[in-house]
This record gives sequence, structure tokens and C-alpha cells, in this order.
Amino acid sequence: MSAYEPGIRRSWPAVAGLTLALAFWVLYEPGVSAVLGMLFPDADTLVYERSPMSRFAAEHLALVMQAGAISVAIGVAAGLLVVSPLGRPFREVISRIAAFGQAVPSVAIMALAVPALGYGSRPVLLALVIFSVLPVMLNVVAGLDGVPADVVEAGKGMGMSRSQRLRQLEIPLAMPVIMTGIRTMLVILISAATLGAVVGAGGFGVPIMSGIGSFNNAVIVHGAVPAILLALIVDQAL
Amino acid sequence: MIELRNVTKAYNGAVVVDDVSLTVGRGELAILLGPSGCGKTTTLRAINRMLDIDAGEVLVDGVSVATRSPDELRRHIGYAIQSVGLFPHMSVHRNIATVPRLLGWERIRIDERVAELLELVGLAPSHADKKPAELSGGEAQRVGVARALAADPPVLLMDEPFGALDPLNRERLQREFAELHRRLGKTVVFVTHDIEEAVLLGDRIVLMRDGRIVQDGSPEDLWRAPACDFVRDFFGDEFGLRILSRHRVADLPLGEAPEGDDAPRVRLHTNLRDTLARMVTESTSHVAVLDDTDAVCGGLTFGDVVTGVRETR
Repeated sequence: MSAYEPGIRRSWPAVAGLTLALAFWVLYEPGVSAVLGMLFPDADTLVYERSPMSRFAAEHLALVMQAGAISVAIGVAAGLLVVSPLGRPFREVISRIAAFGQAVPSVAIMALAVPALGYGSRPVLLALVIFSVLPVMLNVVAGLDGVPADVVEAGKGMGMSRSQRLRQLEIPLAMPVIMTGIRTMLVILISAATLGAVVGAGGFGVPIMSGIGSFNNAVIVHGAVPAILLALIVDQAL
Repeated sequence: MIELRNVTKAYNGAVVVDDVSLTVGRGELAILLGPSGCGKTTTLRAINRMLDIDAGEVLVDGVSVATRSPDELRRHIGYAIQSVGLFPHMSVHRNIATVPRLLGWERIRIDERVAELLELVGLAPSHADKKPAELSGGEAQRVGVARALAADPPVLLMDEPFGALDPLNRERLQREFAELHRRLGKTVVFVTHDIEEAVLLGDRIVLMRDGRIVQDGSPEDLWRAPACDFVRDFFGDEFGLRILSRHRVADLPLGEAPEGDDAPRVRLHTNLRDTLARMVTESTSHVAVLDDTDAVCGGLTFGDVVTGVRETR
């Protein structure tokens, strides 16, 4: 109703439909085979057969949720820091570092981190976090900047402490904008996490990479569709 | 009681409040009046430490505010500003309950207090659950006043609280506020640049210019004996008419009633400005005065009105 009520665009029927579609794709392989068979009649293999899709789903979700949680923690902390009187002088520097993090190709970070962190999910988490901190931080800053000055002024004038103003006024009022940042971050994370397969982190990227290696479009689609569905669900649900 | 002693404040070398001393007694309503940039808002904000002064001292009830923590101090001083600054994500109830919650009141006590305040500022109980976006400008200002009064602070600071309202609503709220002040007996410092508002509300006007107090007294004092040309020019010729609106027919010695039954009539409680307006409207210089029983108890001439007010208290 007002601008301060988040989730105006949320559509629960869409979320339910997309979740059903994802469950179908992950859990019911004969059905998926049939669909892919219609789309790719000439393919010799339709689905990725070495591991069940449910395993990739679990790996993918774990990657996204861990990277997302770390990104939110760092992004919110950095955003709060640069708008605080203490951190204001560093606002420019920290923003540039975050922007640089998003500019560096994730795959390169993953590959470069393998010697130090080994194969598996750790280099992927590092790359994903570096890649996704910026939208969170920028939206925290934009959200807090957008809080009406007179509201904070009134809170101060009534004796709210700095942290009370932050917790009771500024953060709740900035929340819709912060949530937009988190949503954006999660959507790009879901897509970027498919690259984790390159360094052995698993996830929906495994069938995609396998399909690329064997020139089999059906297998690529088998891995790409659940990643797309997951991104759409997150986009609708948050 | 509020006491300012030689308060000075400068921003980037520009002195905005210059050696201001002022005492506002318990229960008094003092208007800080002056053109924009005269330092009235800065003076007000020095009282609840919304800004820290460069020199001088501010005492509230005998205690220097510099010795108290700003947050704790502000919880015991009501504060209302022109833009109101209602919290848009909170209900009216929650907005009004802000300071009581900060002070850790019990829920039941808060609920009772909110209900009491809504009634006090003339809002229906059903407003409690509304969000600020659902309120009209006048309702929002009422909530702002209720919020400032919530913890029953002895001192109230108001910075053009009715400035953003349309003239009709503004006057209504001004009158209600004057009545509220009479009933509650708070010590109030009220900042405005609106002469009409100052004369309507204030028993005491502190006129400021360039960071200094030019004159401090009742509206009548400033009208009868302006300290300098600035005071006279600032109030203008309208000042006399505004002073008339502060006095009633009963304040003047009555003369003979006009002859005949068709003379225009005013009542003892009619203010003198309205009495004058009545004479102009009726093209007469002599009106009859009715007492509370509707009996003619005397008369008043144009001359009585325009000269008599000089002598009233």
C-alpha cells in the first residue's frame, strides 16, 4: 500500500507453480527425459545419468545459500560502515573495491584460488562472495540514504540513541531497497554458481559442463532449466 | 523552567546565536519570533542539545543540560517539528508511544496514555491503528503534538509545528493548542516566523534578529513600546489589529448604548477586532453591548475601541 511495505511484486501462485516445476525437474527423471526427448529428438543421451539431479540441486542450493549468507553479512556490514560517521571517509574507497570485485571474472578467481583452497566448494564460495557483495552493499547504502531526514531527526529529538534510530527507523525504512539488493544478488549467484562445476564444487553446472564437453544440448538444458527455475523462484518469493 | 545564559553558537565562523540570555518560567509559553536566519531555531535546538553550543550555558529546571546525556535529556523534553517526522512504517499508536517505550513503560500504561492523548488532541480512537500515510496534514500534526506530549514532559519545544498546514487548519490547531497549554501548564518554547501565530498564542514574544534578542515582552509591550524601528517595521501596521484580537469588549470601560433598537450588537466576550469589523460592515461607529442575559448593558464607539486598547493590560 505504501512504499514502506515490501513485497508488492510478490506472487505466491507464481512461486508455487515454479516450485512444482522445479520439483518435477529434479525428482522425476522419466518425465524430464520425455520432455527433453520432444525437444531434442536426435540426441543419443537426453539426461545426465552419472548422478541424480537431486544431488546437484542440494549442492547448488548449499553453494548459493552459503555464499548468499556471507555476502549479506559482509555487504550489510560494509554498507552500514560507510554511512556511519566513522566510516564515511572510506565510502568512496570501499565502493570502488566492491565494484572491482564484481568486475573480476568469477571463473578466474575460482581457478586462481584452487592452489590455496583446493578443489571443491571453497574457491567457489570465495569467488561468489567477491562477485556478489557489491549489489548488497550498494542497496544498503541507497536504502539508508533514502530514509527521510526528518524521520531520523524526530527520532533523535525524542531521545532515540544512534543504534535505536538505526534498528527502529533507518533499517526498517531501508528494508525494501535492501531486499531488492539481496534479491538481485541471489539471482546472479544462482546463475554464477553453475561455474563452480569447473573446480569440482558440483551443482547444476555439472550437467551443463558435461553437455558442453560432449556437444549434447539436451544434457546442457537438463542442467540449465533447474538453475533458471530456482532463480525465478527466488526473484518472485523475495 | 528554562534558562539560557549568554548562549553563543557559530557555524564555520558565522555567528548564528550571539550571546542570548533568556529565562522561560514554569508554565510559560514563550514565542521565539523573527525572520528566517535570525537564530531562533538554533536557540531552540540548544535547549535539548540537538546541537552543542560554543559558549554559555543552558539550564532546564536548574540543571545544566551539558551535564546530562543528550538522549536521556531529550526523553524528558517534548519536541515537535514542522515536518512532523512521523515514522511512516509505524502505526499512529506506535508513533505516539515512542518516548514511553524508550522510558520502559508497561504496555497497559502506554495503551492508556495513547488513548488519552488521542482524545486530548481531538482524534478518534480509531486513528490509533492507522499509518501516517493515511492521515491528513492536520491529523498528522495532531499526532506529532500527541507524540511530543506522550511522556508528559514538563518542557515542550516546538519548531513551527503548524507551519505546513493550510490557513484554516492552522488557525484551528493554534487555538486548540493555546487551550491545551492553558490546561496542561507546560513550559513551552515555540519557534515561528508567523506574526499572527505569535500574537495569537504568545503571552510572551521574544523577537530575534541576527542571532540576538531585539525585544522580549508581551505582544502589548512590543506594540506600545517597540524597542527600535526594526520591531515596528517587523510587525507593521497590522500589529494593532492583531492586538485588538487579543482583547474583548469586557476589557474596555463601556459607554452609553446607542439610541434605538436596530443598532448593531456585540457581546461582552466578542474580541475587539471582530467588534471593529462589525462597525465597518454595518457602517456605524457605535454598537450596543449585550451581556450574558442578552440585555443591553452599554455601548462602545469606534473611538473607544481604537484608543481604549492602548490602556488595557
